[in-house]
Amino acid sequence: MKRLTRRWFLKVLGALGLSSLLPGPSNAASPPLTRDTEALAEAIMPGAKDLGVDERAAALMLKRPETARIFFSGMRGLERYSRDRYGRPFHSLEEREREAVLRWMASLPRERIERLFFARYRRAVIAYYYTCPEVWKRLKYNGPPQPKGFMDYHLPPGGGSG
Amino acid sequence: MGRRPYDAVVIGSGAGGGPCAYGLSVRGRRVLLLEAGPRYDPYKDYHLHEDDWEIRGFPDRERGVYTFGEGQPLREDLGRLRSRNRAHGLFNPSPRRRYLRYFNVKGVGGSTLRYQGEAHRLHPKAFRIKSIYGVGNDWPIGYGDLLPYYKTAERVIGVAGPDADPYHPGRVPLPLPPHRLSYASRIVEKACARMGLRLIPNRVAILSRGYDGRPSCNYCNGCSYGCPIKDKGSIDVTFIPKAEATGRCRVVEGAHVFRLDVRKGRVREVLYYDREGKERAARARVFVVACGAVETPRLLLNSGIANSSGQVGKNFMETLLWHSTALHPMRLDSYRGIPIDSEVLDYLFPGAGLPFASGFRLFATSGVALGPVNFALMYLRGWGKGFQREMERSFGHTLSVGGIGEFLPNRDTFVEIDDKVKDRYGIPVARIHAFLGENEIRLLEFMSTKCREILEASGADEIVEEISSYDLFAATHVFGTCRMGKDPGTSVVDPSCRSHDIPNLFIADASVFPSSGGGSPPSLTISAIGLRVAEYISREVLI
Repeated sequence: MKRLTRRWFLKVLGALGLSSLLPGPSNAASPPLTRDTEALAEAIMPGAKDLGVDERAAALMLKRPETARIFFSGMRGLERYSRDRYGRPFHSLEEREREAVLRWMASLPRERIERLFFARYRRAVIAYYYTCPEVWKRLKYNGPPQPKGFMDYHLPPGGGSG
Repeated sequence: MGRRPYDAVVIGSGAGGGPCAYGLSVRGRRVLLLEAGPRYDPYKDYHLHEDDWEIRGFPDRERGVYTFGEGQPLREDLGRLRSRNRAHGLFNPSPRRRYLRYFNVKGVGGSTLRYQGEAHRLHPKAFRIKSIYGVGNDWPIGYGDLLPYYKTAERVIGVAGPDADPYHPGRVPLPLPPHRLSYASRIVEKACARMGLRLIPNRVAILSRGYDGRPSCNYCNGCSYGCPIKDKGSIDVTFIPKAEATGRCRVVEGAHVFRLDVRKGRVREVLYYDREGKERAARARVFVVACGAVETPRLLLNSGIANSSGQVGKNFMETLLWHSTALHPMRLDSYRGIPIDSEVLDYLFPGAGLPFASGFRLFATSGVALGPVNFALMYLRGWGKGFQREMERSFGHTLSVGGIGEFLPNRDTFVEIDDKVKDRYGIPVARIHAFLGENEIRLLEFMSTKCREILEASGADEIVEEISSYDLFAATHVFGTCRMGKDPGTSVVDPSCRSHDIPNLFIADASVFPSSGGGSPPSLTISAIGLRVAEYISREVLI
């Protein structure tokens, strides 16, 4: 299983000249970023980590300085809340505890950075999750649209005679 | 090809400019076709074959810059006309109408690169709504004046549809047979029949069999993402290659035209920035502007020309849209097929007794959530295993219907120059003001009722999304800002689309429309106008 690493964050941010945004590894207050990012993606869409969705969603948010700042601020807020409420980082929480953290983020006022972060990261995780052909099989979705098209479009799904 | 000056410079390569350039070049005229956007290669640039096609979307390399005026105050008693979505609530919770976007495309082929391929002739009554209903404006030309150009456009594009329908008199067979209705549309067809409405196959620029070297459609439904197999008859794969094949049409992409220079009452040259940002000029005997109903008045107003009537930018008309999506208990996979494969024309130009003047059409549509990503993001709330279970239960169950109606011009709806905002070349952009009148609101009320009734009669359960022009401006079809007329005091161009003020300046896009056509998609009419302008220029001007 591929795992997010600090090196990966540095590589993505370095390519954009944003390395300074990454919290330092020696800073005790810095969040356990890589584990929490994975765990959050997994809480939003179970199975996301195995499909590499966590990495793609994080990369999308790190593309621009403003969204990268939202990402790091949001992750910091997630970490702080988890420790304050449960005394452990987010990735160490039980499933029901993670669920409670997500509900907290989603219920915050719109202007709170944690809510903005969660809305964007959730959107990115869901979007990339449903680009995966492995997931399409469970949906019985026979995409992408090209090059095959949907020549059975006039029939009931599954190819019945309609 | 000889060197400059060209016989004609055509500005804009979309539904009007492309056919105009074609019409001129096949008549032996030397044409310079200037396009602000790039040329897309359908085989390489579009993404429908990739797993993340929904995220990538259409590969817009450059978007137009516009500003918008004040939003129209919304009425508390019209809450049922608000745009809403099951997962996200109201799209616009504010007390004023919100401007989202004017949807156009910069690129060789213009907005036909993303259009859904509908190819309608206007109904003969669409040209005479003032005479029939006492509202809006009559056209100074009629259906018969455009008929030969409609036929040419249908032949070049490759239009598929029924040979005849009860609403268009004297139709000749189209080049291609109609597409079969999708499985989902057949359910809508039965529901309409129960309501006494007649759902008929749509007329579309989407090939139902191989035609003119292009393949038949494979029903991927991705027209608005850019058709990668060229079966959709966008202007870049139809008129423009044929124009270029004459050896007399030169297409320059990345040409940002910013001024038409008038000397002694005639346009002398067009000034533009090329792809490298270098200022250039081109001269010709005739100039045709075909940039659409927002960019065309912007160019004329920024140039300070052709506006002795004061009507440039006035009479703006937008897309009046209602769209409802529901979940059906049966799996339908309505994302298969073509975007709008069928329509109801019973209300296109109805008789008296309805609470609005002019008309609208209804259509069955695949909706906008064409794949799992958009379905998940648009219709579901939450996260986790529950989300995934709901996705597996409901994906493929959407059923959508919509309506588009007449928009009457009014004093508060217009395009002007926004001196405070400039594009990357320092040229002031257009500002759009759009307000709905009472007729538009009554039309929306009626359309929304019919759409909901059709979905209910189809057996659909829950409506999950409704999109409405009432509280959102999201226009694809726009019209009227340089309208055509016989009176130089009240119109910008004459019935041949020639400027009343400047004899070597023509306009060939939807800005010349005196009315919006009752909800019919305008692209085929724009192309017919482009062809008609070309013939007129060849016959009467370049002699």
